[in-house]
Amino acid sequence: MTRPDTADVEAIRDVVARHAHVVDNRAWEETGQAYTADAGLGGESGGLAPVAGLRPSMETGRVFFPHHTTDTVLHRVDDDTVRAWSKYFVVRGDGTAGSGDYQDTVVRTPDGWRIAERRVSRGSRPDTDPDGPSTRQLTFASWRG
Amino acid sequence: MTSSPAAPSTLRTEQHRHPGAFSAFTAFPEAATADVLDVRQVLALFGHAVDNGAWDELRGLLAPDAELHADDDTVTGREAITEWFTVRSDAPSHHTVNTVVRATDDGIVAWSRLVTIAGDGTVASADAIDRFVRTDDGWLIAHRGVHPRHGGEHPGDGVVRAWSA
Repeated sequence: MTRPDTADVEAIRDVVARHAHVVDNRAWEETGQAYTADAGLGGESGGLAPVAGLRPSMETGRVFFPHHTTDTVLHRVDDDTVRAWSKYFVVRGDGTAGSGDYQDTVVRTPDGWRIAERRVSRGSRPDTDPDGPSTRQLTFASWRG
Repeated sequence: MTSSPAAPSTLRTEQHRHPGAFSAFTAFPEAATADVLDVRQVLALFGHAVDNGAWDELRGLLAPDAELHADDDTVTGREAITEWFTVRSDAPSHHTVNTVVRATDDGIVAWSRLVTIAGDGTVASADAIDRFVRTDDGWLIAHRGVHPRHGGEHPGDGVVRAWSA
């Protein structure tokens, strides 16, 4: 079993769940509840953008939908580092849903566990998806690192 | 408000209910915390493995003689179950929520709700009831029963009660 110790699991799940609450509520002053100050966010590959850019990237007038985080699995790297892989789904205004994935590096800080890196995938979606097609690149190998 | 004449009547289809099976399930004692966390991890890995087509990972979650009951099929054996999934290339995304874990005399049973999201954005809900056995490789799925909440005939409490198989 590669998951972290029992005492850490619920704390990490709680932190992973905070992203949806912060983002969906636009509670930007609470970003530090979920992320380290120098955390990086990105797509499935390529560079990472500073977490400070999350707010301007989302307050563009584009419509966003509520996020639901599920299926979090945890891989212990060392005492203070865990790789987390979750699924998420959004529920659109028309009642349809879209699925995706997060892969995170979660680190133990003096304030508790925080996400230091998050990569987001829109999963595998067909050409007819409202936001266009995508193919999931995140894998078991990229999760375990 | 006027309703569209094209609106499917299934919008008002009542869900299946299993009060007797759930009462029997929840009468089992709660499982130890470490076991709960272990089986939750297996259930989540199951969704990731199927959705990623990671078949070796899927095999590693199943007992050699595991049984799957889904889509009116009964599939027996780790390899046969893996094969059953490989031919479903248009499978939806699998999200496991609402997991409740109980300890039985010889293992663990988990009752979850399985939310699947198809490529066209439609959503379906099912019960997933998993019986786990403890092995040298950790908790493995010995039996998985998947029962849609909507549509089809009521599967009946006897089918739903995977732990008594």
